Amino acid sequence: MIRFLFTLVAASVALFSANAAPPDPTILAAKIDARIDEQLKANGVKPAAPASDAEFHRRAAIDILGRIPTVAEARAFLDDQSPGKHAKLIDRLIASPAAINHAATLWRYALVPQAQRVQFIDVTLEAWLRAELRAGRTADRLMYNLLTAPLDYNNREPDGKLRPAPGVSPVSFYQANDLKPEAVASSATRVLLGIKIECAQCHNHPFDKWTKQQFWETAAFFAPVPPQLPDEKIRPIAELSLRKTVSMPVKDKETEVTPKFMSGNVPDWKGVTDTRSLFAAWATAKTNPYFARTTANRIWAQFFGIGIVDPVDDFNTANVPSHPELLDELAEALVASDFDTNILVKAIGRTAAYQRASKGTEKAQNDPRLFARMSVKGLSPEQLFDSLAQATGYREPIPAAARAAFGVNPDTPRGAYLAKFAGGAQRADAQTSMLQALTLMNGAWMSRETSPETGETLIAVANAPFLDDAAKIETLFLAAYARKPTTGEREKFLSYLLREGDAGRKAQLADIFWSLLNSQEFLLNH
Amino acid sequence: MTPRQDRITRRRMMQIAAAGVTFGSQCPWFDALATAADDPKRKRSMIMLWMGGGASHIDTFDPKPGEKTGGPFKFINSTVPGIRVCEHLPQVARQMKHLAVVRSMTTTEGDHRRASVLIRTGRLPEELVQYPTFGSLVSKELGDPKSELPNFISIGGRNTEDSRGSNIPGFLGPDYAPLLVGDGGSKRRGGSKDLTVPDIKPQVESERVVDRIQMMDDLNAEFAAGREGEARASAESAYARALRLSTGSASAAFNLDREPEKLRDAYGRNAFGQGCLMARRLVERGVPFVEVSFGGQGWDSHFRNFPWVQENCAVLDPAWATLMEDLAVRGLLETTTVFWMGEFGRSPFINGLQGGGREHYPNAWSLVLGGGGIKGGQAYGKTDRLGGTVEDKPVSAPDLLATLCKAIGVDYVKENISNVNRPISIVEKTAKPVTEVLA
Repeated sequence: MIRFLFTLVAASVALFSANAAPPDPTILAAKIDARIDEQLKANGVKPAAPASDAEFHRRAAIDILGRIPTVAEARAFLDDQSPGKHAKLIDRLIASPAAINHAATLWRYALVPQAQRVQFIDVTLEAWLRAELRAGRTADRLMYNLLTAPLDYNNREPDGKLRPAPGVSPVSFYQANDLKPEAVASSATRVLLGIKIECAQCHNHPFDKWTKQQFWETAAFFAPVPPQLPDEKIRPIAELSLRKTVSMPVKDKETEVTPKFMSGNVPDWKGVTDTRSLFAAWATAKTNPYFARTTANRIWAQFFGIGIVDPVDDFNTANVPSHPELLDELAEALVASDFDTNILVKAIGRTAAYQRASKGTEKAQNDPRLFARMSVKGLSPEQLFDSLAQATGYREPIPAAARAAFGVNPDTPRGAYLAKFAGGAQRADAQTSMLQALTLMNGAWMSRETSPETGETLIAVANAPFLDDAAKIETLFLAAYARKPTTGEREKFLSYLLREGDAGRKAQLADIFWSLLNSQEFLLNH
Repeated sequence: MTPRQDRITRRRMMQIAAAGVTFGSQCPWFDALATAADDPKRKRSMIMLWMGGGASHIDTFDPKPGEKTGGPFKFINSTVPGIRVCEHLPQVARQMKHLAVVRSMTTTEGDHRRASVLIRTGRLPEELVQYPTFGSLVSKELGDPKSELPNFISIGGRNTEDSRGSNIPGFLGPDYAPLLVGDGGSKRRGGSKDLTVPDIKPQVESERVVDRIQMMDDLNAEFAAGREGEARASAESAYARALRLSTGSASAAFNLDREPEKLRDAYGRNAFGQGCLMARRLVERGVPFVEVSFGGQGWDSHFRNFPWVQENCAVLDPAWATLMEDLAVRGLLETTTVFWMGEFGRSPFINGLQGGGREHYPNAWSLVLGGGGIKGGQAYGKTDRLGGTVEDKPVSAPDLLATLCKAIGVDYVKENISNVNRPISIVEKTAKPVTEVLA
């Protein structure tokens, strides 16, 4: 595998280092569709119809902003008759500040997988990611900065409990890896290169050709990661930044190992002031084919719910990409745009594949790796809460900025919700649990938001003098689904609304809203 | 009256009275459910009494009298000759014929979180593989996915920094997550009124609930066509189970008001005692895995160890002993394995903090197995004179979990597919079940 991989490197050097102009999203979108269509044709599968405007809008907002559209946004998009409104929407969403917040959340998911998550790790790491993204960091710079971040501060209080770093710092990524060079190295290779070498820590890799020696040589690049001192302080990294050895356990003793790239190349230390920086530079180089592919693949999975290589963190010889040429082309585009991931988002948003309906018309479209219809994705806890807040008109009392600095406040509804549901397996994250269902049906916060006396959207809709009953129902549909009700739905809900005359109308409006918010059309991204 | 009930009433009543449980001659709680225990096809269940923080083995079940590590407690005879237990566990001492004390636990982790993950999953925490907790694994094997009650219920269990990653369904997915009862998130030991299932009751009157669910179902039916897939199936299953729980009759299982006052008193009027009573009600209704968490400050007695252990025993002793007796009275003990454990023991060394504390100690510690599938009335394994090292028959975390699987007839080498697409056995294949403690 190694030999194969690095022949690949050699072969791709010319391709990747060519000073190509940033790709045009429309042209790239056509390329993507051509690759997808090729396979659909080969498999004799007819793609699903295009999504309705509303379905497309809702999907794009969730995928890019992490929340559903507002009623006003939904109405405006439905009313917009101008050509190219889909592409314009994608570009508008990307430019929104919410897009950066959502991107930071997604990077954090990738960097710190669920099992290790602690609130402050999430929050401080995410705040750092957000600040970096706001400063315009492209994917390569972002990862380079993460892997070379200064780490010198005291991270523990006298009681020995971990505390967040003062200021905005990615150090919690290192803490999540127990401040161990080998753990940081496996996280880094997994996230940046999509290669899982952690099992080579103790023995040679069972599927690939990674050896235990190579694992520890990679870990040695992270020798400067400061160990915990006996007094629970992190030693300033300045003293350690050029440290180059780690101890590899061999049977009962340990052997010193020094850094070497997985490609077999020996590092050149001239002018280097931090051992980690050589790995960071090598991994994020345009000539490293794995970084571009892994990053492109992760973006793809964000939009389609499944990677071209899937699981996205596991590139190995046995894990075959569904569309290998497509992955290469996406990687190439990413490199040509200097790792500006927005280029891929713009292109993907413009494809027919992304704009397809989630409703299939034939069984064969169910194979998610054919992209014949849009797969139905679960919402992350963040996406679900933020979408509920959007629909019900709820506003968290604490501004997002304050949240970012000192952690999610478990006393706010959002904090409590995330504390309760942000756990479990990564893929299962997007699954619904019974507890979640109970909370959404009967929880105090949801009851407040679906009460005509206290729910912001409901109060507004119930009391708006300019809305007749049909318009009230339509507004609730727009709030929850970003679409208008069908004729059948309108009639059915109207008759429910009028069943008890004026007296029960508000309560019935609340019942309708409750059923919309608990329905799968709301709970899922489709 | 069925033969079983006939058998129960007099002889068992005498026993239970002798064991310190006294109540009037009216026993309405025997009806209906008592017959369930007679079903030969009855599934097995498990109750885990979780002693978070780590209880001192030397101060409970592995006495070291006269040694400098022994502490001030006296030890009393149990009903099994040769097995002595702490003077503050007199009722448990009378249950010893049902209990097997394992005195030779030896594990590697001295940090609460890592140790909890190890003892409850059989594996050390890893970055990517999310190992399911034992309750999830067992409930998957023994549970009925269509049952009204969830198959894994965790009473008083809190998700804290110390337990992070130890109580998750991991790669088995949310269908196997525990239903948390009384998850107040508070550090104090709550009263029994805290033992509620959060959000189980609809917040509007029942006619409106029916309307709401009807409308929701109609919307879902419309949406479902042509949209097969994992995400939709999972939402469907979660809502179906939540609805069964919140609108069905099953929620009565959580209502302790239906229990006689005297029995409630016998368990102890505190969250742990009442939690044990609730565990019995749940097992009676076929829930295969129930965890009752000790709660409060747990057993993490770095300082003031001895009063701390004594206070905890005052809660533990009546709750655990009454649970054993209550299960026995109902004929449920043969099919219910009850085990008592924390994440590690506590140091033989006594520090100088506030009259003496004990530190975390994974090297040698004790836990207690009992009830169904367990050969009671014995102490297994041995520590040295000071209680610091295991001298005989060491038992590891995987060994323990494999033993428990054997006790309830679960094949522990059976594999599940993990989130990294690798088959992973319930317990490591290299585990060695302790056959000596199995019935």
